[in-house]
Amino acid sequence: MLRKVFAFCAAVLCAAPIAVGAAGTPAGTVIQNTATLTYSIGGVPAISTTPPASFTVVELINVTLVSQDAATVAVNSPDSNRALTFLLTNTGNGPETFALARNNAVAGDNYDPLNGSAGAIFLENGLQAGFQATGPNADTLYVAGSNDPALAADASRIVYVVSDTPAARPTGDVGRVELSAASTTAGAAGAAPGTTLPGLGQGGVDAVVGGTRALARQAGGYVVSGVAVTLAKTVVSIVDVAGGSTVRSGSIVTYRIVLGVAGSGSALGLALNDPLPANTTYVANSITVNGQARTDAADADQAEFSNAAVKVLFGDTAAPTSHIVEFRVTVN
Amino acid sequence: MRNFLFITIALVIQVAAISAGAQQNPILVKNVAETEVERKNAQGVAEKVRVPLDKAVPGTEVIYTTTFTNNGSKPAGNIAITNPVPAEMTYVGGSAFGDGTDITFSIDGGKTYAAAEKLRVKTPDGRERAALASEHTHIRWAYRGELAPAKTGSAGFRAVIK
Repeated sequence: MLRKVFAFCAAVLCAAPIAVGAAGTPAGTVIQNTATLTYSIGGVPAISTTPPASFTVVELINVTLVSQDAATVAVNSPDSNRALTFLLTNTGNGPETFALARNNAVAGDNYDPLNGSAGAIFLENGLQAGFQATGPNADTLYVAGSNDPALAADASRIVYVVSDTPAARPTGDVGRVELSAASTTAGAAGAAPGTTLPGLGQGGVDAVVGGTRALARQAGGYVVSGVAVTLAKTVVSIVDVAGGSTVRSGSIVTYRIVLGVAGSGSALGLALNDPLPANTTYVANSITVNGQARTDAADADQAEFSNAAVKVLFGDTAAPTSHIVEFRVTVN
Repeated sequence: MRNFLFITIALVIQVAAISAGAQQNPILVKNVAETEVERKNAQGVAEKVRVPLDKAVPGTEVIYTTTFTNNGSKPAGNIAITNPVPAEMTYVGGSAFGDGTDITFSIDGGKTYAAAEKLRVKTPDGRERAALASEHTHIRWAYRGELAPAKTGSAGFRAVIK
């Protein structure tokens, strides 16, 4: 069995003598070709081989940026440090370093996002998926010229464009940011495809600017989003004086109100005001909020009963979230 | 006088080396890698010109040409040229050329050869399909008849750098 496994490994190694990535044969590879001629003269067989025809594969510089956001990223107004996510890929055939820059003044949108207060561009550090501005898995702040991402051929890196949102933008406003990644090889970025840069490729081979002009640009967008507050009131239980569940005089009815805050952004000064149904009497101190008892007085806890209505104050509430309020009444 | 003597000796040695080579290998073989570039001729018309290749980017189509010349005094027979498609390259289907030759291909690293349309590949589900040009690993040219002294033949193919 062991021998079989070894034989299998050997076969796999043999079958893959050269790793050619999607980006092509690695820069600096010398490709040789030798033809063999067999013949006979006067019945005597002979063999002859050609000197190798050989050439060197030069470095092709190519790069792509692809937005990883399924849609425009919902933000509040104002908001801070919301990330757009891009995938930077070295689609050339040699290692290459890229300088990143963002353009906040993209034409055709409603407002210009601001560089994030935590930083303008971050590089995924691989510890935790998604953007983290702070904490043990905080992503790496990009500093141009200092930690420009260096990528092997075919390698990728997640890049975050992090933005603050100005105040007082109406719901639905879109702000776009364009990220650019430019090869740091001198003279490459933006040059016409096919431009040769002698000796500037991997290991001193020539570098040739590829179809992407060694420069990638990709825009992403934010949209100022409203929040949707939903309210659902249900009867949780009815207990009559006889221990049954019919509604009659003296029955105790428990109501449940589920307050949902959906969408994106914050519901400011969120408050619930639920007048009692007719012909019912409030059961004193029966209010609970998310399972916690509340007093009826207008005091430090967020709930009160006054003017024949149950009132709960939630204040500024960030979406998405939900709250459950319950209270009891007796039927008159 | 001394210089002259050295030169004479050097010449003699060189001549001896060439004649020894010619006796061992009366067929002189050469292999060149070229690519086609478009250039404007004197009339301003674009035309394709073959130029020798010493460096290239992935995606370049390379033309390999093997030439063989009979420098001996007797005709050579049973001439066959075998050329592997470099592992970093993909054969361009239908591109193999060679006047007066029968061309066959291998998809198994040069163990067996057959005409391109007869090459079959077993798929994982046990069926068979026609081999793709990209699966050709070697090309063989069998030269029909004999190559007379002082005659030259050529054979070649095109392949694209992966």
